[in-house]
Amino acid sequence: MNRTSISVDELMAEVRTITQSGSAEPSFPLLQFSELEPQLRETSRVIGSPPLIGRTMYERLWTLINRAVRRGVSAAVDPVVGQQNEWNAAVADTLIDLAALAAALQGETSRLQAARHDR
Amino acid sequence: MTASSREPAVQADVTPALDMPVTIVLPWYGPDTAGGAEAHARQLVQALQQAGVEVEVWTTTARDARTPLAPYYPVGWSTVDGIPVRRFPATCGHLPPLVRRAPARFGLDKCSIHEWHLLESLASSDELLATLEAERLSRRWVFFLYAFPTTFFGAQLAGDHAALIPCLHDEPYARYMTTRHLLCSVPLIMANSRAEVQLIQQISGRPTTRCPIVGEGIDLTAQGDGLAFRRAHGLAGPLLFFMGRRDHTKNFPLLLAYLERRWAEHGPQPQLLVAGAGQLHVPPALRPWIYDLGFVSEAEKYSAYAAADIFCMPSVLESYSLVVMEAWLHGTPALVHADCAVTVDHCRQANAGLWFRSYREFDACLDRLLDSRVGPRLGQNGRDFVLRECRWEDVAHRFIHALNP
Repeated sequence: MNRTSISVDELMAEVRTITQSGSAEPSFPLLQFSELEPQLRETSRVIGSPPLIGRTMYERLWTLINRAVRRGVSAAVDPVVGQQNEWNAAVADTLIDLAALAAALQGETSRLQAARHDR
Repeated sequence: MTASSREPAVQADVTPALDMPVTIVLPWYGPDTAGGAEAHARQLVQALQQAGVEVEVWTTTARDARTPLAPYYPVGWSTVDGIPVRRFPATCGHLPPLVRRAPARFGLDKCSIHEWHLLESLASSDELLATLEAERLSRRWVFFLYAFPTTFFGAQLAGDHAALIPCLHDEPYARYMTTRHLLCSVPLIMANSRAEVQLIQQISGRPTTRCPIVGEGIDLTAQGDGLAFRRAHGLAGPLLFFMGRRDHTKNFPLLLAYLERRWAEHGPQPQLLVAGAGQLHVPPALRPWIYDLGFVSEAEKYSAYAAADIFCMPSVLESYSLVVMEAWLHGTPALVHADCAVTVDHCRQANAGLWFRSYREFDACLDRLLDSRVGPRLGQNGRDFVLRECRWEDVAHRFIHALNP
């Protein structure tokens, strides 16, 4: 058979037939969690003073007012924001550590299952 | 980048001469600069110089995306591989003064605040942009990487003299209003692949005729020794090779999770061969089945391609996959993610790789590619494709033709 007689589209059709008639798709919860990890770090961090941008005259006026209000209440707000961030970071660290332990346990299970096939 | 999809083949003797020098602009450039688009730029300027184009590079003093502000290269003129390179101080954290004075000139009055923040947070150079504005009519400007301020503001400052090599892939930033504004306003876009042209059209509504496919080339003289590599590393049995960053940007955790499942279901084959920079986070129990080369030399990389039975690139964010082309050059078939239109399209064009969207598909594809009647033939198809389509001389001629039709 020459090499041009092989077609990836035909091979993919075979693959799809096999997958449709085979067993159900397994779930990968640890993979899904690891994909969320960067967002978990990002979204769990509270910012007390998000940047203010004034693109138009109207926005610039509001920016000035907002800055003045922030300055007035910062002594009360900043410590609360700091505490909240510490708590959020601790929760995120715990979740990530638990996921790493679960991945190690799953890896050990996979190794034992694979070893059955090696015998 | 097939003969059917790209611009008509341009012969060296009919390539029009450029009436102006060409300046390539990108945030980072240098011998120690990492990144696919940066390597693309380095090889393209070499090919352009060999094709007789007067070419230089303008960039910042930063090294690459990992250290975007730390000065690594000195300010001023230097030479990299015989190419003149002019470096300007890198800046970050604010919009350039010429932009702050008139944001509406750059379409920023319509964009949302988070897009404004993104442009402020990325590496730029106030001095580069100011100098570019002063010299904008003296040359043709070609901007690499769509998201960066050097490109977004530089292309608009250069006006009719601007061209863009966006290296666009379907990520959230590609859907930003600033990206659409850039894609709509720049007079010429040179794409890397057919799938990238479709994405540009989808985002901007720009006609495909204004997006010629210039593509990329690779070093066709590269030659790895697979047998010697296997002997040197004590590797036997089927090998699946992954080369690149071992993180979510390349979808590496997905490959690892799918392989772990396959090993649990069928036993520990194929063994995973990994190369690239960065830490490899793997559960201890799986380490015996993973061979980590770490950061490798070019010669060792080529030998790893030749030693492997399958090359897997699970990333969905590619505008052109250099590593897939290199694997094909060494006769190794590819396995790619079905959600990456670019790599799937290349697999179809080359008839040299399969693609998966789920674990079951991944599993079935591996069985097909490890079949000795299938894998080597697909690999040979890939080699034929690369030798036919990835010559840098052809890329340089398509580039010149696009700039000066």
